Amino acid sequence: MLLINCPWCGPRDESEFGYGGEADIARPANPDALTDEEWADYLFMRKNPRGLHREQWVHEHGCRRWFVLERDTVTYEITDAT
Amino acid sequence: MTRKESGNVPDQMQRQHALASFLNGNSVPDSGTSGMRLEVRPHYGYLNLRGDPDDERFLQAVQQKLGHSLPGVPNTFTSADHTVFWLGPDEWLLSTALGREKEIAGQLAKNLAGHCYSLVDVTGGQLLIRLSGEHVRGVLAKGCTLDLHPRIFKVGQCAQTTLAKTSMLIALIDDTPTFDIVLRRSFAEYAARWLQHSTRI
Ligand SMILES: [Zn+2]
Repeated sequence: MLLINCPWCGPRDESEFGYGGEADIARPANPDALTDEEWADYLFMRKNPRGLHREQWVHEHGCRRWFVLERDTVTYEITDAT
Repeated sequence: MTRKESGNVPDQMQRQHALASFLNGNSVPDSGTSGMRLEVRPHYGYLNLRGDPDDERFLQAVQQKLGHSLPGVPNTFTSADHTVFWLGPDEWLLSTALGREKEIAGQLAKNLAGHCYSLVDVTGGQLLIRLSGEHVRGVLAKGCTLDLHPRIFKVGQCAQTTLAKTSMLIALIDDTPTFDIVLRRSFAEYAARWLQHSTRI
């Protein structure tokens, strides 16, 4: 079980959180201008790295805020919460 | 389809709190037998308020009506005429004597006219249970992942978390210790049964 540091509430048990996948994915400003491949890339393709991963979490059972943290996908160590 | 006229709907629906029938058929934990007293306190009305905490005019408009300021420190509550719990950086829960919430909501809405805010009467959806006695922390520890040690969780603090998988808002009232927990109405009986079961030695 992870202990996750909510920027508002401090360290809380993983069971209070929801996972929101890879962070920093911006919706293309003009989807109509994209090819099917580019649109599919935005919708479906994710990095899935072995190592550091910036990802979104939501403090579902707490303050209900979304935030980004960096987690090592090998060791599960959370190195940064912003 | 035509709407059927129903002749047997009572004029005045009997309003009952979520644990009324539970209390009829069960002996609730008390400090003598289990070191924890469970008291159902249904006599509160609740308002959920959201607004910009950086907007001085919003804060003042609220304070003017409530007589005290909204708690700005995360996971704390303030008590005066009413109790206001911090739920999130732009969200608070106000509890007051049952019946007063409508008048407060009306006046808050008047004070907040022109501001960007949200004010919702959530009285029907909540139930408060008061737990006190020497064994409360031990009982809660069975189903709550929060560290409730007196060194960590102090009087005046509150937190939204889970109790045996259901959502709760928990607040430490005094060092007896006395904890108030606010539960979702539909999960109140589940939580009460869990608490009852968890006080058995
Ligand atoms: Zn939080």
